[in-house]
Amino acid sequence: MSKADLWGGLGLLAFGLALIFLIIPMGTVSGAYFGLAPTVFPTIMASGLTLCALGLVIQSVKRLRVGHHGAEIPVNQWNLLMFLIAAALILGGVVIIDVAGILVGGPLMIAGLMVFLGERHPIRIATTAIVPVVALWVLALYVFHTPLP
Amino acid sequence: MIDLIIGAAGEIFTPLVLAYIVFGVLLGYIVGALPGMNRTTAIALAIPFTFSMGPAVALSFLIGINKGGAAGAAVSAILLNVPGEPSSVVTTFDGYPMTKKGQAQKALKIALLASVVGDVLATLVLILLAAPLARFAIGLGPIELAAILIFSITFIAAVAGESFFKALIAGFAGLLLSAPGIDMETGLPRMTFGLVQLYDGVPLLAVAIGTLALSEILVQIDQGWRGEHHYPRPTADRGSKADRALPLKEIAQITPSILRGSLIGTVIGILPGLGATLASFLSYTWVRRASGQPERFGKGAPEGVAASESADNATVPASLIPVFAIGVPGSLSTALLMGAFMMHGLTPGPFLFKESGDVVFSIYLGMIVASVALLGVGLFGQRIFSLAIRVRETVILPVIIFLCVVGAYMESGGMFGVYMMLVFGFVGYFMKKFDYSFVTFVVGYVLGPMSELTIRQSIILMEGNPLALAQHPIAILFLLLAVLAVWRFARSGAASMKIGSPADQST
Repeated sequence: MSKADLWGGLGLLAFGLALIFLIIPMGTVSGAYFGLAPTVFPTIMASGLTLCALGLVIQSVKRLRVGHHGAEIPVNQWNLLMFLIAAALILGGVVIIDVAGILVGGPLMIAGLMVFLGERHPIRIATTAIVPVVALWVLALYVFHTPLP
Repeated sequence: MIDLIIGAAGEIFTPLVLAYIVFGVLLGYIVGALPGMNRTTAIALAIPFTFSMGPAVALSFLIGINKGGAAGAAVSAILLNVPGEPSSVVTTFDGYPMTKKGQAQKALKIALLASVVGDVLATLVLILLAAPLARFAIGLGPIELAAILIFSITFIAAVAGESFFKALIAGFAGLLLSAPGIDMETGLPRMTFGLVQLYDGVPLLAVAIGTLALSEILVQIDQGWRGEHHYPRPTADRGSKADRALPLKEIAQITPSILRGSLIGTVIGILPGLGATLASFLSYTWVRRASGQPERFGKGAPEGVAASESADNATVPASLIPVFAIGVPGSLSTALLMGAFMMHGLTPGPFLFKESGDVVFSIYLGMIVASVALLGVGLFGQRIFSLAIRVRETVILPVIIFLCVVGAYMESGGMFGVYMMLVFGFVGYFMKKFDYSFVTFVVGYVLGPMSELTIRQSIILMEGNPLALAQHPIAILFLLLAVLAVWRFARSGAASMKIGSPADQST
């Protein structure tokens, strides 16, 4: 995975620098303090992250230079496509839950994912999509006193 | 002391609480038995459902899941040759050959007995050791605590995953993630970017459920599509009566193996980051070498199952010792339990015994009840577990994803937590794929506030003078150990100690 580690390291190095010089200062409201500035702790951690990313880059370059390419990158285009479809289905389900409530979005999300995973039995899909959602909705409302949306 | 025990008994020995604990063990057992599912997923998903419980009941319930999960993982390892969790890989070595010989029931009974004994012994060690250690830790100042925290995260990074740098990056990312919210000193918002929902910090369950549960499901979906999941059906061969029974003579034969496994599991469990997989491997190797007939192992030796399972289960209570004593979790499940402690208003660490001694005694009692429940559930629930491992992934995975959504919603009572959970789930998928350690990430996140407090206090106490450290020998010792780990593993390039596999991170 040396090539992937190299690119990952470079990305994280850039992210670390962005954290130190942009994100942490911009995201922190300045005000009076008597001990240490609020930015101290996140800056120390971001510096640690950046140094480790630099270490990862150097290590990967060293390995690539001696011809050690490491294990195969574990995500190919097919995996990525499957991940994106699954992620889109889950996100879609969550958006429907947000808009129309869990009793509508929950069964749709479960049914969509079941079909995506290869389930074709209509009764199994209907049962699995409806029973857990209704059961959890009732449980949350009457037992845990946290009404679901 | 007596009044604390009586109070604990009053809290735990009620029908509802006992039912919660038994249900927790049962739930953990079923999740542990399902190949690919693990107890950390179950704990992360169960935490939101404990909000309406008292702290002792909630934690006993969650620890019950942890114990049940560790024991349940043996079921699929023995019946299918597919470990329910990485720590049960070793159980397959002799468990599955026993199944092929028609001794599945016997192997399951041995695994259960070993799990219960390992669990009980390690629970006793926890009860005996945690309070004295906490008394010692109470004398430590912020400089010593900061040094211990730095050492713990560095050490966990050294043993987690394949790359030391990647594990440390994950640890720093976890620590950084704890920064958004209201600054503890000025009271001003920090890294909240105008989002009021972040004033209380990034929701713990959104992080835990996203990175541990959702990302795991996404990886499973990915593997399922590649056709990597082809689990065989459990064997229908129940064997003869002699093959099913576990007579006293055979119990006596496996007892030394169980005791060895319990000892190794307890010691490994106390040390941060080493995990149950290493414990079961070491225990198996020790018992095999000590047996005098090492050639029997791998072909269905009962001692092999006993050694592996006792060590695996002993790590569960033992890993709670550093949480109770100094407030430092050494594994994913203990990091989650520590998060649950905090959600229920308890502060793990040396002051836990002083501030909430009654709750600690109730948790101890709850753990003992969970051990007994483990035996009952294991003995009477074997048929349920055999059925559970037949449930299709096309049914389980979507339902768990839905549970992730509900769990994230219940913590914050709004959709913000759900969207955050999705973000961490998607990021976690890539972390898993590219081997960025989840253990250091979650432990870093959970330890973030305590790290910030102790580091800030240390800087102020030392008044910017590093030489002031000379007055703190314990801190120097831990910092030297941390520096040694960084020097050793960063220099060697390949870094980590490569204990077990990256999958070891699942517990």
